[in-house]
Amino acid sequence: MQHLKVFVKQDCQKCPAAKEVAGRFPETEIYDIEQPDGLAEAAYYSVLCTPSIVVVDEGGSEVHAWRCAVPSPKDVSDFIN
Amino acid sequence: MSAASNIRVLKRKERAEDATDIALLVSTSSKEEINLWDKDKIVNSLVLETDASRELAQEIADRVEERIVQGHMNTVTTSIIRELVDLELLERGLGTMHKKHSHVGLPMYDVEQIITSANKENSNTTHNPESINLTLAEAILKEFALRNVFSDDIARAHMVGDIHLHDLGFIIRPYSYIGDTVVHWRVKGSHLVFTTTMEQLYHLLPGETRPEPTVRVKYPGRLEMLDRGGNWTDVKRVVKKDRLGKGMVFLATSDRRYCVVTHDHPVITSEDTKPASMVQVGDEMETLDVEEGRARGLEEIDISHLIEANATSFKFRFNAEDVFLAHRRLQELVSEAAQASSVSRTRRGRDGAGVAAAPAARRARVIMAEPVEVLDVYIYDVTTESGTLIANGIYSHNCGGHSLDYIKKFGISLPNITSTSRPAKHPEVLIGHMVKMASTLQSHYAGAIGWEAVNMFFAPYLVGLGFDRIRQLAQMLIYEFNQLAGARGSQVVFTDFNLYWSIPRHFRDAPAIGPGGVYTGKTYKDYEKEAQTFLKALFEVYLEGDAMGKTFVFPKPLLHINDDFFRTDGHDEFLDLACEVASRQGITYFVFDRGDEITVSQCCRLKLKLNEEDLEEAMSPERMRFSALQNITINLPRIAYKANGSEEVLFHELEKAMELVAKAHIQKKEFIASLLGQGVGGPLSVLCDAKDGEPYLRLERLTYLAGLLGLNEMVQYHTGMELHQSQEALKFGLKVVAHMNLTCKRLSQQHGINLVLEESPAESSGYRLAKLDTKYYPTQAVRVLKGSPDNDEFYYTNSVHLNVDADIDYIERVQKQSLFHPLIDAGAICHIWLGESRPDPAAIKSFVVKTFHNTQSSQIAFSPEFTVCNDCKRTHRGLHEECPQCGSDNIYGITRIVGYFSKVTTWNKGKLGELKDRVRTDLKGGFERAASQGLR
Repeated sequence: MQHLKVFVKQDCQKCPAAKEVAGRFPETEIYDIEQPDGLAEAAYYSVLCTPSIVVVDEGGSEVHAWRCAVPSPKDVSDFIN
Repeated sequence: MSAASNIRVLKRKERAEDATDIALLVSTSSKEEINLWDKDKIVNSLVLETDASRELAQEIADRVEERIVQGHMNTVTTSIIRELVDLELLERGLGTMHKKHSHVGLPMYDVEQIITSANKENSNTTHNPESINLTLAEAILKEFALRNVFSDDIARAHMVGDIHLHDLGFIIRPYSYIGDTVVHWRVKGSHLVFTTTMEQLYHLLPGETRPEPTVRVKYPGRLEMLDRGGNWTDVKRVVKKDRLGKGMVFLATSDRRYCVVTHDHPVITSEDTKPASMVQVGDEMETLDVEEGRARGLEEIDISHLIEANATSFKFRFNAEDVFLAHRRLQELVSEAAQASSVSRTRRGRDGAGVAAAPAARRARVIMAEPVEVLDVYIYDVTTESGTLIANGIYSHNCGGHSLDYIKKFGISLPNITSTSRPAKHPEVLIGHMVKMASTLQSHYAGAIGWEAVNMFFAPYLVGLGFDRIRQLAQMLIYEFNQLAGARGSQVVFTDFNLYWSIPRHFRDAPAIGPGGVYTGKTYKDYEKEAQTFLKALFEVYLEGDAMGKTFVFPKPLLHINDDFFRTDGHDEFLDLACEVASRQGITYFVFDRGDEITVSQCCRLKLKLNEEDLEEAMSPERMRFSALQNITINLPRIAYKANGSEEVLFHELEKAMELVAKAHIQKKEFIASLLGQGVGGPLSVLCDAKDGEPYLRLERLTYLAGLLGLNEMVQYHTGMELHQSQEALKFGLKVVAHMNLTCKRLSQQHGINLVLEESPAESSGYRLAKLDTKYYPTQAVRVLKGSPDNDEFYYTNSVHLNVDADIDYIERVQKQSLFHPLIDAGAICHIWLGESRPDPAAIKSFVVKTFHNTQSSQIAFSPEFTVCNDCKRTHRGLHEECPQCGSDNIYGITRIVGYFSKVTTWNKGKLGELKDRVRTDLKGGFERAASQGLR
């Protein structure tokens, strides 16, 4: 089952929008890159800026990613199914 | 004969009551003399060195004398006396006094070992008289630092191997204007111009920051300063520094203007820019009649009267009330100014004048240029965007780097060299200047000397030259640096050349400095062709190698690859050459600058190599220089041993270690600041003595490094798996480094320093820390140590690297290691050990391009191995026991030890162990194969 990983931080203007889009999909995980776990996960997926959304498969491998951008819900649903 | 009769006891007439004064011969090795016994010397030294009371000192001296008498000695050394005194102090529980009084020295046996056997702490050092001096001096200084610079907890952490304090580091230099220099400034866009002294301007501004003990800085934000031709330039900051006894020069011009500047302040004359001390009567300077500002509809207000001046001295003095009043008045004026700027631009000044006309620049002759004594304790500088300003009506410079432009512009004038050179007019001379500057810098810095954009800065000197001449210059440049064994310990100067195929964006519009230190009227983007030709020539020389065909070790060519590289004509052909060099000689370092990493600072990025301030500085490249104060490496496996499987304890210990690192940095910074406090008469005069406006070493811009060692072994001990063995282990490693990254940020904020992570090369410290772990944590260490413990050839895996012995594809190795790179701000590298194989340059090229596009790797280098025969003078691929050509065993091996090539015979045991384990590759296979294994 594919799901989303969302990378955010405080004081990031577009992050609420990214959370809102990702929140529409089940099992979405949110990571704060100002916390060690979030930053480690961000580094693992080569996420260097916020907001970023990564679609991963059940093995945790990246299927698609929007780095430093907020996709539309439709863009996401094209990948998540 | 009784033992006591061996000591001649002498009754001294003046102090007949003291019956125990003895005629003992005291040999003082430090003064190379023999003295008669004098107990008072003990008393005096205790009072002087330890602040002991005279009574206590007398008591201890009596006791020591008694021991000596009892010891039946007739000659005694001062060091024995000192030890006896120390023993007394210790027996009395006077630990602090003992620490102050203790002796720093080396046992005879150790000195003999240092003289007779090579020190392998640094494989760049050979065994020679200078390196012996260096090792002896270092032994004393290390002990001094541990006892006197750092606190006990930090010294202990170093001694037991929790952390490793690397070499001594860096400093700062002050320069500038005297405080009463008059400048003209305004709120951005306003018609209201203020005329104040620099000192007044400084004190009028709010929000002082103190990046170091001798430097205070204010950032005004919205101010502009009057510049050449009546134009305005943004004020970046205003700086107030301790003068530290620097010599000042008084300059006066024929139109009755004057200024007082530090002797090395760069002064703009019609001929060139030169230090104030070199300005001569008759030189021409550009001046500006500021009054003409009124003719442009500018209203000028002199507010210097708002602050009481003390007429008897050069200086203005303030009390709190003055400053308060001045602030209030300034607020009023600023709000008036804001209104003024919103009304029509035709608004006239108070005197009614208002015809728009640009003031004409004037030329005036220098009529006086002499050293002057001033009472001022402080000097000032205003850093502007243009790098220049009108000071006392004279067109002047503000505040130069290991930027080649620094030398091009200012020539060579160093306190340790008696003669002064004007800026070079010919490329050969420029090479000479570079080499001398590097040599001087190396004696003051512990690390590598990096030169920025060498091929670009050289380009203005190469206009109109044919390729053969340019190649000759490239050859000269490389040989001069490669054979300069004039650094400490007779080492070759460790030099990095940063090289670019396309002119970096941050330099494209910077005014270019050409022969004679003169601005050419063009910017660096206009010299791209010359820069490219020079770069090609440099790589042709690297490809050829030295007279024996072997690779050059220094200067290291760091080829920067960025998006612009791929957009610039000719890049493909040039990359072929760079990759051929990498394949044949291995010397190319591919450095990756991705996206907007260098050109733009964006709020949500994790990483910025150059910050905004650095980018501003790129417009006057002579100012660019980056350095680090000190590296302190954290022994990561030790933390896992202490945690014994508990994640909570592990992160707690990690945090504690990093706090210790920050504390050690602060202590070192304070020590360096105290040396700098001695000014140009002190030991760091070179660094106190700059030609632009700022200290050569700027403590506030310095980087404070926290090094990583043995992440792989830490993770292995804690999780049971090495970094390459499972996704969980890799993720745990990332969590450790992410935690460290965030802790660096927190500590930076807390202490006002820029603390960042670095992949410590740890050439010798890695071995030292591993060895200490076998001593203190033997059962734990043995489970994860790499190499062979039987013959002492063991080691911890470098920084965050994967096990060198791991049987994984190189693509996967680079992909996985690169995940750490964005978290490591001060530099990271992936090594690709080639061994004896010589991959097709096309395979290297494909590897480089894919690493740039598909990973976050900061840097990669390909390392072949060579065997050089001393008999038949040939160089062969691979490490051999004997010469494949002539069979001689008079040979030596060369390959990369850490970030540079060196002779294998000079390597320490830990690194020899690593060399045996390194998995080599011929680069067959590829990213496609890695992808099929489930990697991204």
